[in-house]
Amino acid sequence: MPLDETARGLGGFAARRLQTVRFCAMLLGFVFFYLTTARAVRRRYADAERSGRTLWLDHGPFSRPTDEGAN
Amino acid sequence: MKIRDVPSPEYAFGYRVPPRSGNEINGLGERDRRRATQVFHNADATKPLDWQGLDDFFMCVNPWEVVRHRLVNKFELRKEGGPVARRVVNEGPEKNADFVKNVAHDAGATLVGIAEVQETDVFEGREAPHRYAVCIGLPMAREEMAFAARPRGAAEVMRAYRRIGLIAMRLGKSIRGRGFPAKAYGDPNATDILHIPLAIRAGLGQLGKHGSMISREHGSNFRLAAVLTDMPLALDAPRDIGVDDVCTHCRRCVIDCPPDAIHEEKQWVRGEQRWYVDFDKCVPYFTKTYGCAICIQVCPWSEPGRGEKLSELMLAKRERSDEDPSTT
Repeated sequence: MPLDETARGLGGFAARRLQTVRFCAMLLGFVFFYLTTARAVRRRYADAERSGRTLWLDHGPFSRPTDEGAN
Repeated sequence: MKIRDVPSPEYAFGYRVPPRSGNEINGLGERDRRRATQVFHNADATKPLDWQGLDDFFMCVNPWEVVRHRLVNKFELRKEGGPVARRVVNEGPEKNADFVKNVAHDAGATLVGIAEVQETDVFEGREAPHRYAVCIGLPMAREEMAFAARPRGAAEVMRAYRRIGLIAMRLGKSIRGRGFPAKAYGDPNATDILHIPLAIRAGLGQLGKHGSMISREHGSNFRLAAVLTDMPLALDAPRDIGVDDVCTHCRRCVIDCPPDAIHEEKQWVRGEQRWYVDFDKCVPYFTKTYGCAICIQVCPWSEPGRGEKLSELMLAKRERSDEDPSTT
């Protein structure tokens, strides 16, 4: 019984339900990320834009703006 | 269309150590043919790319209207594949192609064409699961795209991607219902295939100076998706609609591109001379402006009703100059 969403029968059915569960887990994770980490990044970015400083992208989830390398 | 209040190409973000140039990854200046390498916006987040930091940043700063459409698109993409019916209905390539085109049109696609998948249509390290590509296109709402480079324009782009993705999934399901495997490609991010070369060979349009496709019907104001299948299908031929005749002389997108990213002349890219946009200049601005899209909106071909007239005019002019070279 292959666990493949393109398969017919019980294996395919289970794989497709598993996909839905995976999506729900991903959705929860993303909403949490968007409301926490991404929100902090958006706030730091807005600060950087106002102050003319730079948000460095070399390492996620992106450091606070520093004077070094300011625009 | 004139885009108003365009943000400046100055950035409050950047790299301390810049990644490898996107132009180098894309194969700018290369005379030998090779497959493209993913550089940005990959759908598979488990394999970080050279420009992953900027891509992640793009995701963080996306406005909620864009994120909402993207999440629904992701949910709908569960159905990109599916079980294939046991009973095979094969009416031959011509009738199969008619069936596919009718289903796509009925589902809402305004552009439909069929091409055979070639090696260079597939990203390096990826595989195309099937032989034929049904390429489909859907226009974006022009009045919403007047807000290009701002959240409202970005939301319209994502709405169009979501809608065309859904059409691709419906088409894929119809093909599977006839006993042939089919996989829908309705993800706006890079997956296995390059949509533009496939769509050009499927006769949907030609590549414009701004690096996006131009169709007779919608100019550049449309989005693409595809369905790959093994159902035997009659192929469409590429269409010359006169894009090169216009783009060679027109400078609209070059002038209006804030980061000055559009090359005036065709460039060698992976063994082909073609229009090319400087990745390293375009993508930071693209990120700052939630997907930009200024070039495709200011393009004269994108004015409603203008593309068909422009195409007729260009082809007639070329025919006249072919008959009488002294008139050129």
